[in-house]
Amino acid sequence: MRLLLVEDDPTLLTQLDNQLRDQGYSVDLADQGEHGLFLIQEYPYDLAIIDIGLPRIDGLELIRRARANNVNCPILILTARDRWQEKVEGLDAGADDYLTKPFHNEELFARVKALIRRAAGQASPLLERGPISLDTRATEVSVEGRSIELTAYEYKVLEYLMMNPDKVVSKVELTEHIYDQEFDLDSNVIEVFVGRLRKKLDPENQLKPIETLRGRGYRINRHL
Amino acid sequence: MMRLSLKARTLGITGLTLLFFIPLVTVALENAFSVSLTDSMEEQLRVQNLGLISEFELSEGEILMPGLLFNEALNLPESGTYGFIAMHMLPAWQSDSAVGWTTPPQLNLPPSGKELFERVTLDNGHFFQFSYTAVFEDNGRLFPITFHLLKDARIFDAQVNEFRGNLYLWLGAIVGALILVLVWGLRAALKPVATINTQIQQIESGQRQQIDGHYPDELAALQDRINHLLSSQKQQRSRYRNSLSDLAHALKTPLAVLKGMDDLNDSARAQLQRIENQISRQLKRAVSARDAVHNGGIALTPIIISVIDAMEKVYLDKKLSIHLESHEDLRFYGDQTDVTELIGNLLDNACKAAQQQVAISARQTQHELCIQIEDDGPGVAPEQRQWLLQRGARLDAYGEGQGIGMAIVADLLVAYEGNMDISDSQLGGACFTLRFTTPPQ
Repeated sequence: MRLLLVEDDPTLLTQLDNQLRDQGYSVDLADQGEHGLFLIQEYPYDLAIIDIGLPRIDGLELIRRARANNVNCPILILTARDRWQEKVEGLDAGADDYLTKPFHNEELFARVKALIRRAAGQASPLLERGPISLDTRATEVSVEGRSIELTAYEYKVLEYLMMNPDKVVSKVELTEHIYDQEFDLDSNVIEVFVGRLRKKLDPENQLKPIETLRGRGYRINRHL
Repeated sequence: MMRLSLKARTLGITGLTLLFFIPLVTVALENAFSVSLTDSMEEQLRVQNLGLISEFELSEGEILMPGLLFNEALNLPESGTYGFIAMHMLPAWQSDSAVGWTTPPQLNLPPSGKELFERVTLDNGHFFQFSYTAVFEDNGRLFPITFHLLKDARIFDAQVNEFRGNLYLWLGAIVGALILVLVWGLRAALKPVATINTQIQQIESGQRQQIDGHYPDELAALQDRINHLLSSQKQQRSRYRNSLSDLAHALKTPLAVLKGMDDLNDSARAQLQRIENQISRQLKRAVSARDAVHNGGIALTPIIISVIDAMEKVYLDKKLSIHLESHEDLRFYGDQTDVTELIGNLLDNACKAAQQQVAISARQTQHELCIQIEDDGPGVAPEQRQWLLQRGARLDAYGEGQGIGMAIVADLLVAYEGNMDISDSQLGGACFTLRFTTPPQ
């Protein structure tokens, strides 16, 4: 999952960046509103975390402009101003949830996961498809109750596919959601990840959990 | 110094003035009238006395007076005007009017060529006496003759009494009219003071921002100074708030960084939480001031709707049904941020507690605004209710679940002199009822 983090305090920005990466997210950073607005309009993020108190273009304005330009990704606002009036204004501007500073990291991670899940139309943190289940809270995958060890990138690929179960996901889209903007796009890597995933999820090649639609991309097998 | 009203002071001073001057004026007028009447009496008696002298004749040492005198009053018995003549200091003649006088009165005699005018008291009443002694010569002998005229003082006294009665009546009427004019004048003069007073009360209750209108010169200066004071106070308060707000917000980001550190132990985390709670609560206390202008109040329903919209977004996963029962014309007499805070905190708690349903209803009578927020959650245990309602309960005492929301609600209720009641909801959970007095318009 690829996140955008817009925060003007460099220490908090770096800290959150590291912690979100540790949680397995790809994170793009912006330390001012204008840059954040450019990124959110340019890249297909799964979630944006935006601080309200930004210099020049503040967070609310950023959200308003992004929403006016049909940016639909879920937005979590961070605010030091914890009056309800400000929260209501933020949500009214187009944010989907808020978190007041200072916050526990666990709280932030829980909100991030819930918002991503919600945006994908998944109410439960447990994504299930046939024998495969993916727990977004614990970042664990199991097949028929057996726990499967996945690398971070393999997990990201599977999570994205399971979040969008009926959708054909192109390699480009997968790449965009798995890597941050610094990564040099190479679609062969995705093929390698999908190949490994298939082996780990279905070593005997019976389930065929991931379909390849030639020239279009991948999809979780609808007949699982 | 006694704290008397301006009206009482002015009326008191005027009353004292009237009490002192009105008797003085009465005495002076009465005296002037009496003196004038006495002078007139003297003049009248002098003329009549001269008339009596002109009719007097002395022949052979005998007094000759006509049977009918020119002065008719001296001919009529008991007419009130009586003439007496004394020769050689002895009574020698008396007019027909004095027919009832058995013995001539003992009267003072002026020396020859002199007049005497005085008020005398005789056995049969009070009289004005005018006497003149002339020396007549008859056959080479000199006869000192004294002509007395007595005028009954009763008519004079009756006239003076009548005058006094009229005087008292008119002075009384004048005093009454004066007091009425004074009271009316005072009321008119003090009306701007009453208006300023009312406006200051409205400023206190937040219905007005400054003193408006045109005032007399003496009060216009006061009005300008009060308005200037209010404006500078407002600016100062605004500066304080902004500084406080900036300070608190500036502290929150480093706090977020500290809380995000992985190697922080529990004790440090607990202290950080305390700092955070204190900052949040004190900041909210500082900015909730109930000093916003709310001439006609602010529309409540749109605020509730915006908070409900926000809650529906935040609690999307719970698929809550939030039911609102309210009218468009409900007014909250206070600051929008404060009422949003009240409703936000209570509705947030209700949404957290609810399983499926939350209901918010608001209604307003002439005297109060009532907002009710209920849910179908587990409810609040009776022993916990009193503790939640306790105003100014220490922040540390609030449990993790309630957050500092309830402390802030309690602070705002104190600021707005509102009250809160916690009961069981028909939905099955808790029902929080807020009541605020509607200020008189």
